[in-house]
Amino acid sequence: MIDDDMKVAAVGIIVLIAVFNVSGYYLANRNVEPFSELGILGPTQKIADYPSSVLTGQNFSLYLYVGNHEGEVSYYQVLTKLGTSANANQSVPLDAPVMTSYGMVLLNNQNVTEPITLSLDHNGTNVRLVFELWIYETNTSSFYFYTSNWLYLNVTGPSI
Amino acid sequence: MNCSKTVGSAAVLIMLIFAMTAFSAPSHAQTSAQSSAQIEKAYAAVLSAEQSGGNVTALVAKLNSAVALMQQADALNATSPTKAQSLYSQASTLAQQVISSAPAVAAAGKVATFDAQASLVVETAVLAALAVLAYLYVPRLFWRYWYRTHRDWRVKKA
Repeated sequence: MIDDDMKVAAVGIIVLIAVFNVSGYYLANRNVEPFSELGILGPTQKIADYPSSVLTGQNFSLYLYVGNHEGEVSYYQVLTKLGTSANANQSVPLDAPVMTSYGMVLLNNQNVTEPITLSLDHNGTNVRLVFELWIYETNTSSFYFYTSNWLYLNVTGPSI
Repeated sequence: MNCSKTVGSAAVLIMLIFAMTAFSAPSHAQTSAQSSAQIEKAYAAVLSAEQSGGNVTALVAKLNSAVALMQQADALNATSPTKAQSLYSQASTLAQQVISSAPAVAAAGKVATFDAQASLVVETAVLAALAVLAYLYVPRLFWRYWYRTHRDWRVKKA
């Protein structure tokens, strides 16, 4: 009776080790739910201290955060555009000209925080500065829209 | 007669020079598109190498340098087209280097994947053998050990 219990315990421990070993191999670097991240950080690299008002034509700094959890190396493009509060929609790209674009290739589970400098050329109240994240798709040989974030700004001063 | 022939030749020459200028010097938009296409091709090569199990860290670093050069060129294209063209060409060269290095990384990845799978099979086989040995010998070993550690024990009358 005790002998049988000992046999079961010993074999059970070894089977558990084998299961962890095999599952560890197959689950390594596998993302169950692939996703990407886009974040706009303030000048102090935090989700705070965003500029609310800028001068026309004057440079201001922000940080762009992009994270890759797609389970594979990914090629991203972040496009900046200008919009208004009327056309705010995170699930579709804004139909507006591209101001600047930032490209980056990230390994799986890698992220990057990149400093960016922008300036706005026209006055406006509640100007929506939009950052769109696009991901390159090799099957279609094109970038597809993933998500967007934005920042509302008052642009003051003489128009240049 | 002679004069009209000269004028005709001059016109043909001017047209030829115009055509050569128009078609031989690539526009900056073309160069930008070319280096962009080259970077996309390089990314596809890196992705394929990664899917084969290759370590693509160095390739990604090089590809990011190419992307950065292309961005710089895009920013300079309007103000300094010559410098922009040089940057586009550097970006294309880097992307080309990534494309040519990717197959070797993919091949190394395939070998590493095979080695990892082989060692997993060996480990599993060793564990299976250990399980059989444990099933057969653990009780015997346990009682032998128990006897050795308890041989000095005396049984007292209750």
